[in-house]
Amino acid sequence: MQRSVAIATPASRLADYAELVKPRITLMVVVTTAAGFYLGARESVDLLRLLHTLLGTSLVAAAASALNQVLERDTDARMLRTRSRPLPAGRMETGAALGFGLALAACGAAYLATAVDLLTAGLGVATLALYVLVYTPLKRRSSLCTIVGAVPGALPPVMGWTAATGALSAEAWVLFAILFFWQLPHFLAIAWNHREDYARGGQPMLPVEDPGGASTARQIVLYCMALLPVSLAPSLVHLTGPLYFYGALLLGCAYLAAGVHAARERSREAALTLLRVSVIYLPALLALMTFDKVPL
Amino acid sequence: MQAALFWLTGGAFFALQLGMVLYLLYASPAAGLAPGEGRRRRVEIVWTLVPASIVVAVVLMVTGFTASSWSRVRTATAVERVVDVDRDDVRLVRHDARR
Repeated sequence: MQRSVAIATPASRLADYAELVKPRITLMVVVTTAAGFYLGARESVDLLRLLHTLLGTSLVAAAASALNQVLERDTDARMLRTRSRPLPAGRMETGAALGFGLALAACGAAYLATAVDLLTAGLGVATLALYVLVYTPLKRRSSLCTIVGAVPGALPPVMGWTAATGALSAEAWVLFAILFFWQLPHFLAIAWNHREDYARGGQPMLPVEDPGGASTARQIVLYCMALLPVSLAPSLVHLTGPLYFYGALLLGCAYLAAGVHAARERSREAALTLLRVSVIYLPALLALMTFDKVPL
Repeated sequence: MQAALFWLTGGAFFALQLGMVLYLLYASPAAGLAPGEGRRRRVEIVWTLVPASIVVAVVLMVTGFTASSWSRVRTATAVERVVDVDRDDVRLVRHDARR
């Protein structure tokens, strides 16, 4: 398919490349990686190693976003919320975006392998592969893509942990489980509000396959419910103290209440409320974790 | 108290999960399932089983049930009892009276 490419100024081209790497998602990856690193650090935080970890992880996350947009350029062109992205809008050549994404991926993996360690680099490559090669193609086939996509979304704190400790341990998987469960109600709320758009793009998300919303409602409540005990686990493995435990319990109850409200109402407003609660929940939980970390 | 709350919330999750699986497996309207509903329910059962498997994995790790290095808690927990293996009065070999 031929597409016209608009003439761009250097500033607008830079803005397009910035949009290609989804800065907000990359920022979230950086924050969760930093949290994992801080929680894994024994006495003092090795700031240089943290910087290397965050830089390498950001490159990998940016690569995942860029390559995802390359693979989804046709789908994005059909959806209202994505059709103004650089590729579907014709502001960038596919080859340029692909080259940029591959270069970021190679640099990110190589940087993590040399400046941090092989385990963290391996997790970075696994994150990238799962996101680009499994999650992205699955989005056109099944609503289960959301569950698959939550795996790479939950790996950044594990990468932070391995970068700080050099090994995987139960605490890292607890962090993984928290991030995994947090994403599902968050994403289902987004998908509920954009279900017509996802249908237009040919992406069978759960709210698309379930127009009445009963399945979506059940799964929102179930995943909020699963997050509750899992979010308490850091205190049980002596990673955090009692302040975190009771704070996490309160936050989890608030997230669950928002989930139950969204499930009962099945309205755009209730989904938006759930989305807002989810974006407050995660930073608050991570802040509590870092504040009440039990020193080794 | 913390452990009790962990088990309470975990138990509530498993009760909800079990109820949902049973509903998806057995509940159907008198007129039967609509076309495509069977497939949709099978997909939803997978949605429902995934969190259960992850919660089980976390519970196993928290309770120290798993032994591999990547699933062991790294932090040292309080030592409840020291076992002195060098004590003279510890009988390491118990004689079998039947022999």
